[in-house]
Amino acid sequence: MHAVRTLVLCMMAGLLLPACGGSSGGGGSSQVRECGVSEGEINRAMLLQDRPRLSDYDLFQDHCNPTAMPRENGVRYELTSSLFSDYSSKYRFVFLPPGESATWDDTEAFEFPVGTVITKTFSMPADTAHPGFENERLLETRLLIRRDSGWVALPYIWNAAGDEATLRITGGGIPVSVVHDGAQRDFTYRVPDVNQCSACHQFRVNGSAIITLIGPRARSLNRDVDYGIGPQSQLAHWVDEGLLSDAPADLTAVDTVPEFSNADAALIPGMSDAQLLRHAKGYLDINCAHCHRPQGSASTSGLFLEFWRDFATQPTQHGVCKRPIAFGGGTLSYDIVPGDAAASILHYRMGSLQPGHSMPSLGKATPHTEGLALIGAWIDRMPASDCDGA
Amino acid sequence: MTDFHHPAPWQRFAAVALLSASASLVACGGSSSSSSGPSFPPGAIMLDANDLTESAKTAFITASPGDVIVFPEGHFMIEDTLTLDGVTSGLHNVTLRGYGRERTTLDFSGSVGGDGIYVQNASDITIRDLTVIEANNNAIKLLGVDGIHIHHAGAEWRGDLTSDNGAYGLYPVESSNILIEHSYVRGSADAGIYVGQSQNIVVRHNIAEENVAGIEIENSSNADVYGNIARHNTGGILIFDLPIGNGIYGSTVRVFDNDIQSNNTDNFANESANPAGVHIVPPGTGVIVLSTRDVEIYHNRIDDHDTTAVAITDYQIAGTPSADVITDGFRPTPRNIHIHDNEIGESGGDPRGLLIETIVAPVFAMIGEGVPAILYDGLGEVLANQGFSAGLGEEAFAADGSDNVCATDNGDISVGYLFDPADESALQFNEGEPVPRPAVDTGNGSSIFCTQPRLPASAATINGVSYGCGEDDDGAACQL
Repeated sequence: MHAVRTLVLCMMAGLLLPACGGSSGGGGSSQVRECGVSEGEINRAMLLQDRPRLSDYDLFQDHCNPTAMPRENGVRYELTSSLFSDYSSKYRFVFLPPGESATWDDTEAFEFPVGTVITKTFSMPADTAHPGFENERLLETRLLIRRDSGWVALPYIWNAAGDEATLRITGGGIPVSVVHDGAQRDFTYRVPDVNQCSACHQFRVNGSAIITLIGPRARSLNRDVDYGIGPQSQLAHWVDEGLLSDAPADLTAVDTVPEFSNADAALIPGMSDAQLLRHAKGYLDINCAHCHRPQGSASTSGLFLEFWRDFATQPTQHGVCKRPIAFGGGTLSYDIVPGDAAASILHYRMGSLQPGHSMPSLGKATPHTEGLALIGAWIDRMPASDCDGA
Repeated sequence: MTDFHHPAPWQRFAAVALLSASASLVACGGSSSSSSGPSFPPGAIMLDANDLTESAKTAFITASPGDVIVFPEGHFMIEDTLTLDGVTSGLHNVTLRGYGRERTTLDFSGSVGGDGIYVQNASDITIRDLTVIEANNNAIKLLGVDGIHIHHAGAEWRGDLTSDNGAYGLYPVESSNILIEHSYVRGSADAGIYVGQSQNIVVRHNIAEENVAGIEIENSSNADVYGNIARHNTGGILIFDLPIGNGIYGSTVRVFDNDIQSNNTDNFANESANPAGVHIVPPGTGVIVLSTRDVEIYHNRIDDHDTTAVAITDYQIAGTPSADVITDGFRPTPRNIHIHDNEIGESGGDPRGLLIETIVAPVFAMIGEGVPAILYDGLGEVLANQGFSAGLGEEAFAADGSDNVCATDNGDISVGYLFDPADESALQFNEGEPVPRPAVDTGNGSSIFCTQPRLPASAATINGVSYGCGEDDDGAACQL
């Protein structure tokens, strides 16, 4: 049933995208394959190479649709709260080597075996009110491939026809237009270069650094997903499918980042203080903490935002009345001024698009209205302090 | 002096053609770093002047050990941050260079990225013979790099001195074994040369002018800063410790044989009220030590400062550190500071700046004095000795004097204190604020006339070679 549905989608896409099923649309000498569902296996030998075209890996039944129908044991996964990426839709899949599984970790990303590949496709809807492959334009598909040497991050950029994605290690800009909440936003979506990938995907400890995953960890994966038979626990599904080992028996005990979608912004005023804190920390965790932690590239800032870090006993690390270490712009004094989001650097930089001010410093070309609302409400609801004497 | 502000005419096409035609480059005669033109090793990666952003990104991403990546001669608009990252490859021994500091200019005024060049997770990185201008944030940043040699490089914001200028010029952070020499920084709205949260540092023979802070060593240990010119900044050389909360705090910094002149530029940092940000650096200040321990300032020539030549101050003068950063290891009170044998010229003629105008100058005016040439706040010492800052981890100063702030043989200049450390009477408080008890003495007649043991030299080891006094340098400065 799953396959049938996506087959229909692909046929619709074929109607919408004239080049989908036709000749070379992207230039260059290579022959572009026709779109459409085909039988076959993942070309795992290719995973050892940085291939020029995404289709070389044969990860999806229809190489023109990286949003559905993964081959073999590939499985789509969802996060409770996800990194904001300019209102693009994101489609994540993990493909494990046959017969192997990832290993549970309480706080960090799961340990995946060599040969694992993860795809994350960014696709821009014409209107965020109507997401879905048929209403979207494919922008990029990022691959994370676990090789003997560690994770390798490779960005593939889709051509305008949507029938091939090409490796662009230097990244690039894609002019896009999206309607969100009834208002059109025009901007240049930026695909990171390979070295910018690792600015976010790094874990540094004791003077050495590795590339690490951000999303696939217990606190972000612990939610229900519909695999076609109604909602069921994503982590339990992974365990049942043999994709995950060493998971605790009681998944309800996992300290889980609360779900937060754009639509959930309407719920903010009704949240209790405790709920608001958890939602804000969950948002900061997935949007900021990959850099803003002692092992991340913003370690020098002293602003540490991991979900598990205790806010009550470590307010300064969360930015409360904390002076910026290296922020040279703006006229504000503290990362967070309790009770006053408008006077807080954290909130200001989330809303800014100015290079050098904008946070996150990569991957944001338009502000996240709902995220700003969440963080703004969290700060505004803190007991007011002007941080004097701090 | 050479005029730094007029780059060489565009010669990039000719230069590239010449390079591809021949390995013999004597015709490229220049004047920046050597009397003859630059020469490059066989296999050097010559970037494409016609598509420099893309070409540089590609070379950075595919870099391997031993690479020498050469930016062409000329003035180039760069479109994004150029990131060199060794996280997957354990990248080491890579050189990023141009044809000369005044001959290769990378202009980031139109970049979509914050930083100009950004290097992380690598070792033994050399950056030389190029200048980065107009970066949105920092010009050249290096994070988590062991072994950094920056020489004959520049970081400039060339227009008016405004808060819109970028933050740091040459900016190694959370790094170690750092040598910055023969480089030039101008126009930073924060610090021109800024070494933060790092160890084993040598900063020598550079020129830092018209920045808010000329040279700043922050939360770093084992640093030698010598033979530099710091002039026309707001503050010349800053040795700071800030309550960052990541467990990295500084000590053992020597500042010697520098020309610290006329640092009287009005502060043009952003208007943040950040109590310890560079915004509060008083215009007209030669050297400031904030909260750092084990600092020796000697044989510098410090002249023509509107406010003060040398200031030693406690973080508590600006604010109270929070309990969690004290737990993390931060201590606000400077200890074991030795200021000796400096030639100190004019100072105090036009004292200004936030804390100066609100606190310092009025306090000294109460006793009919101006702002002294050597200004020690004395606050932390008095608070610690009278038991008021035990909660901040500040015990009383050691009875043997080893914690003392000392000034010796700096000539007949004024030495003053907001809180006279010689006054052992009980500190008075007014609405919770300690009441100052200023005093001003002269030269070796001061309350802080004492000496401390000499601090050890620092050295930076890069690609197996050690640099610093007693390593590659036995010059006169190292004998002082």
